[in-house]
Amino acid sequence: MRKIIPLLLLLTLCSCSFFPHSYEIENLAVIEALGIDINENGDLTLIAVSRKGRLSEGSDANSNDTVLFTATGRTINSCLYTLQHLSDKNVFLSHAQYYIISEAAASSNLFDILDFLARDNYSRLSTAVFICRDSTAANLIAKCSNSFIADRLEKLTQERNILFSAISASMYDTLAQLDRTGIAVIPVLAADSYSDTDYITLDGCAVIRDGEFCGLLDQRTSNSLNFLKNEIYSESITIDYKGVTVAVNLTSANRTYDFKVSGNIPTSAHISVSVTATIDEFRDNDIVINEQTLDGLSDALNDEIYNRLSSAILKAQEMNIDFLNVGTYFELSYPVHFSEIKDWNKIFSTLPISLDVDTNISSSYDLNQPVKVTK
Amino acid sequence: VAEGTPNIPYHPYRDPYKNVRTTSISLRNAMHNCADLNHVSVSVGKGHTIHLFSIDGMVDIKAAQTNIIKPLLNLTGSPFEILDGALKGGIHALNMKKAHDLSDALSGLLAGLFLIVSNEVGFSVLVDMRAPEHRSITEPTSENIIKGSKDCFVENLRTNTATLRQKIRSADLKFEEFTVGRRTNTTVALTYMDGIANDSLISSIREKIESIDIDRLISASDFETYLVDENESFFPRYIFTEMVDRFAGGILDGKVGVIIHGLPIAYIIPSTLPTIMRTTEDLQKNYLLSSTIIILRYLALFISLVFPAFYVAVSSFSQEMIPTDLLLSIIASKSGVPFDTFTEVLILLVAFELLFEAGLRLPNPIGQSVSIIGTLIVGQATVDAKLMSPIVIIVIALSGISSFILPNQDLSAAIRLCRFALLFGAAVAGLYAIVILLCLLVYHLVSLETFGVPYLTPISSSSGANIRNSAVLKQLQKNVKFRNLSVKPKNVRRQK
Repeated sequence: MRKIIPLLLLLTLCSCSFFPHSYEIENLAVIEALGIDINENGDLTLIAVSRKGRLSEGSDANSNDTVLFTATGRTINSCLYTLQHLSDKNVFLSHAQYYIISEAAASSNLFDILDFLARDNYSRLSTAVFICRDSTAANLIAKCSNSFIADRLEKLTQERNILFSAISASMYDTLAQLDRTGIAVIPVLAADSYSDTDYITLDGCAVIRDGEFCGLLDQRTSNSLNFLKNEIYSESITIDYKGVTVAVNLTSANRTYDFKVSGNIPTSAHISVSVTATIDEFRDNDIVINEQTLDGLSDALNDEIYNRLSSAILKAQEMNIDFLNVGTYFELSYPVHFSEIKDWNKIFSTLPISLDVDTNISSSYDLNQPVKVTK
Repeated sequence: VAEGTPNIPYHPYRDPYKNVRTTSISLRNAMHNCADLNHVSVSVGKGHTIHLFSIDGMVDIKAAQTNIIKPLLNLTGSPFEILDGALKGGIHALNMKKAHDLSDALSGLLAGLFLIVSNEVGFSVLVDMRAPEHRSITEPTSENIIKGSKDCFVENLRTNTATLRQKIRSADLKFEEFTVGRRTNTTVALTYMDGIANDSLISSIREKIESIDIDRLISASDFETYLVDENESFFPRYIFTEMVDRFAGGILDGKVGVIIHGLPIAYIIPSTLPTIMRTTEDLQKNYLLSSTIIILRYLALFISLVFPAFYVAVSSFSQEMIPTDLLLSIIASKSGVPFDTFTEVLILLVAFELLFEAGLRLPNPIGQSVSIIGTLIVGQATVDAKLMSPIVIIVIALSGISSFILPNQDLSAAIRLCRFALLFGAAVAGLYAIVILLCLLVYHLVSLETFGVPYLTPISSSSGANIRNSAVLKQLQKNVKFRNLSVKPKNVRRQK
């Protein structure tokens, strides 16, 4: 026995020589972002974004030197094969942090694309997925010629909470949502219309159903998804109070669902959203912030959130897609009933949903006197 | 017998002077051409001649004149009566003994004793009048200690036993002496605490020492080779120390010590990996601090062993594991380097070993210069010349520094050897090889025993408390009531 165990381990070691070939690290073309597009001929186009590497201090090379590889093919596999031929290094997708999929490519079959990418053992399931609006992925990437797109996307992702702009979607989240409910919501990228520079920005969300692209949600509707998912982490929202622009900081949101059921079918749903906030910025020197003011601000915030949520619910019911995940909460409350429902989306589209928003501005600046600016 | 070597049959050791009568002629014949032999003939009694022999430099001449020669001249009677009278207090010495044959007389004489011979008497007298000239006790050089006693072992066995006796003033502290080495006749002292050390452990080490049949015992390796089977493992299975208090601690824990005349170190047997990973200082600090440092040492052991191989495996096989920013930095640092990662690491590891050996063998000032030149050449110049990437230098440096943290040089050397095996494995099959080779290493260590004690005791124990004790020291006053059970001490309890 003393001899057999080391022998077995050594044999296992010998068998390891059949494991994948080693690659020298400097021979890797590390792809950090991958754009997936469809060209005018209907073929898939891959745009792989790499950078030449962070060179040492004193080097004359630009640290943001971007290398773009573009390949076209009928399938992603053939595109990757072509990419490998274009590069003098080994195309290495394991470090891809962003997949940017054009609206057209997502419309054809998003699930197949993500499924193919996820099958690579070494691909990261945390890779963020974006859909690009009004532009091809190639154009969008090309706009970031001066600043490295991966850096810009990283910045956007970090600012997501601050901007209160969109939800995030990793490849794992997207596939898990598609697998569980058949519906996924993916953030959308667009060229920044307010800037002449080459910036891109987040602009709403795309709704995917059963792997097919179904439509886009605007920014306001996308924001409301955060309330329904309890994903509020110190986010800012602007409201109008008596003609004064007020920025309030949302500190928490708590949402509850209540369903009324007849037989196995829900007859109505009630969503209660409780939000707490503080005042961030108040651009008026004449209004005293007292309890009355706070009540007024709460009402204004109530209306704003109510409108956003209402429009999101309306949009979901119009699209006949429960991207608000109301069905998931119904399943949690009534698992037996839900299991007997064949087409939840059909029920959802006609389900009367009432909404109740309770806002509490819990604290504010300690201003009891109007601030008078002396000229 | 290997081809080309003379066919030399084995001769059992036979002392040529056994049962030979000691006379001045036989002794001079045995010691012919020995310029350091002092021989004085004095007339005593009624015209009888007594021969006095000593080895020049080993005997205190002044004391011998006062305490041996002068009293001897006052003795009267036949030569037998004179020698017998000397043994019965006729001369002034605390330690005297009869030598019945030439073999005994020679061994005593060569050990530094004063020899009194009469050609007409069948025995000779050995008198201990040795010159107290030996290196004085100094601070230890290989083991640094801040808080604790600084006396260390010297080359003289008797000084060492006396120093140890000062630490443990107990009649239970036993020294059994053996003579090892046909030619060197080196005294080896087996040391243990009677009533604490396990009898079977003592007898097995005693047998081991008695079975040593070599010409010489003048260096540590002469003894170590016979102490443990070196083919079995290259991991150290004994602790050698020059600190007397560490040695005393080991003896009091129920272990057995060996002190060899001529070596300024002593051995503590048996030793397990957890005991090797500890130092004397550990018991002299707050137990929380010591525990943290011990855990840090295990971490250093792991880094030293695995880090270069892990770097090769990850950068050649599993690049997806590296964070993107780090990957890009590594790629940038490796651009223009002509060697692949494995070759780079191998070259630097070999260079590190060369520098280490050079620094070790050279005198201190030159050794430091070699280190500085090595650092500049291997470090800065190779990076500037794009021969090596900075990241590999960092990996090797971290691994090297970690190996220096290990308290035992033999363990450090063993780990450095294993590091090469892991490196080659990593170059072949990446992380799979590292895991498999580490499994083999653990298998080897678990199956290793030293004098019946498992090498990984108490880590390999099924008891959770024992495992905790291996890394974490408990507060001495409150919790450590019992001795380590791994050496099966006869007296388990340490305190009330």
